[in-house]
Order: sequence, then structure tokens, then C-alpha cells
Amino acid sequence: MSSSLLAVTVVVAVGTWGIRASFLSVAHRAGDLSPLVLAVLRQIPPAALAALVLPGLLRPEVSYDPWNARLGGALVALVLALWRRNDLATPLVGGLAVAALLLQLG
Amino acid sequence: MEEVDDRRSALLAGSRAVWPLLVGVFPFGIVFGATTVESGFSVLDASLSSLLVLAGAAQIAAVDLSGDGASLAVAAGTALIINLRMLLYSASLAPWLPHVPFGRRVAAAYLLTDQAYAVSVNRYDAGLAVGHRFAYYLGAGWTLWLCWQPATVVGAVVGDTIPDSIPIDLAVELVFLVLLIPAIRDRPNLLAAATAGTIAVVGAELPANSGMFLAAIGGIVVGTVASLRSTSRVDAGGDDGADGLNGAA
Repeated sequence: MSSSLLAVTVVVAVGTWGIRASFLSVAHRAGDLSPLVLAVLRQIPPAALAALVLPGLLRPEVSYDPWNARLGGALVALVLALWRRNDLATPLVGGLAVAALLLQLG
Repeated sequence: MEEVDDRRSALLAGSRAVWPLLVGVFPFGIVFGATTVESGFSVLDASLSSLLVLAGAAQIAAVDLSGDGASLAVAAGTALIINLRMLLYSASLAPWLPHVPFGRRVAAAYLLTDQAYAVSVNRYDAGLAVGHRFAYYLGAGWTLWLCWQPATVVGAVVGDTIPDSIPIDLAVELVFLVLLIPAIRDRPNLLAAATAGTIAVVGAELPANSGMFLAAIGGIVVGTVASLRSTSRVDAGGDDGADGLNGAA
């Protein structure tokens, strides 16, 4: 194993466990978080994920052809996921889109 | 809704709730494994990452950046920003599990994934006896774990043989989008995402991925301000509402 990737993996593993355990470790008191903390927590997923996704999607070397069957299938799946706003439908539909891409069934 | 009357049936119910989601998890694991070997790392690298981190989007980012020669701080920092969303999951799950002993709660945090979180909170909201909640979560979490580990190995082993015509890159982007879309649940969320996305695109050329860090912080600040404003309007009798924490993830 390359030592540099191993170091990254270990740091990410420890940090991620800390994030996951953060509020669970104080579960008996987590019922009464302040409105400000709640407001901040609720903005983290959209902000962090958009910061990650958009530069990749909009980078100039990627060309998008909406008639490309695979990409078309993926886009349809995404629109469906948006429209059927449901915690469980989205990972399911999104996963199918990824599967379709891999299998080129899109 | 599945009947749950003892711990064992709670464990199985949690497991079964995750099954449909595995349709997406397994291919995602393959994408991660393939990305790892394509970035110049080994099957063991991919497997260790899946065992220790168990968070696909962050694993992909870490491997991708490391393969491009990024520093430890940039690769790990980016992956951890991606996983910051789990702060919300942790806070949202915690009030349901106050009866679980501290050590078991902290240990079981390892299994906190998008999927285990989503099915657990969904079921708790619909009603599940206090004594069965933790088993339900563990059933969901371990089932996901059992799918993720072999998927990673398969991806890493067959990665080299996946033809170039299959756009692995695009699959990775799609995986991130699939996380982003359900995270946008109200107007403050949309503002947070739009702000972060704009800063990230404009700042894409800044050194050490700092554009992404600034973007995430900017998005959180704007979204929080918008959310506090809409909440105060609700308090004053408006209807543009912020719901409870459990509706928020």
C-alpha cells in the first residue's frame, strides 16, 4: 500500500468516525440543540455537496450531448429523483442510473 | 409496514429496508474500486479504505486526489468536508437513541451512512418501539456494510478491464449529484447550494482546493442566515416553514 494513501485513509477514517459519533455520543442531551446550531447543521449537506459537485459538472473538458443514450438515462433518473422527493426513492433511482451507466443500458 | 416484535425481527426489518438501496450501492462500490486501481493504487488500498472509512463519496475523492498527487491535507480535508453532512445525520439520529449505552452508541457510529440513516429515521418517524430502534439501525448498517465491502473488491479487480467507453468519471459525478439533490429540501438549502456552487466554480483554480473550502463555508453562512430569517417569519405568523430536525435531512 502506498504510504501516502494509507495516511490519507487513516486520517479520513478517524475524522469521519468523529463526525459520525459527534452528536450520537451526547444523545441524551441532543434533544435540546439551540436553533442556531440546528440551522447551521441543516445547511451543511447542500453547501458541502454543491461545492463538490458543481465544479466537476461544469468543467470545460466535459462535453454534454443530451441525446447520448446513457447520459439521457442518467438525466431522466435525476429529474425523477428531484420530482419524487423522497428519502428512499432518490438513492434507489440514482443507483439505478449509475448501474445503467455502467452497464450501458441507459 | 413490517411487523417488529422483538430485537431479532427489528434487526431483520432494518436489513430488509436497505435491500432496495443496494441496487445503487453495489455499482457505486464498483465505481470506487475501479477508480482506485485507475488512480494507480491496489485492491488492498481500495479494501482498506472501505473497511476504515465506509463512506463512498469521500473515499472516491480521497483516492482521486491522492492519485493526482495532492497533499495529505488537501485529500483528507476534501474527503472530510464531504462527510460533514454526517454531523446532521448524527444530530438527527441521536434523540431517538438516548437509551442506548454510550459505548455502543459511539461504536455503532461507524455504521452511520446515508442509507442506514435514511431508512432508520424514516421508520422511527413512522413509529418503532424504543427497545427496537437500535437493532433496526444495526440491521440497516451491517447490511450496507456487507454489500459495500465485496463491491469494492469486485470493482478493484475488474477495474482494469472496464472498457474506456464506459464513462466512470460521469458515474462518479452522478453519485455526488444523487447525494446533493435530496439534501436540498427548502429555500435556505437551495440558497446554500447555489452560493456554494457559485463560489466553488469561480474559485476552482485557487490553490489546494481552497475554493471548495470557501464555497462550503459561504454556502453554510448564506443558508443559515436565510433559514433563521424564515424561522423568525414563521414565529411572526408566516407559513414558509422550517420543520423539525428530523424532517431536515
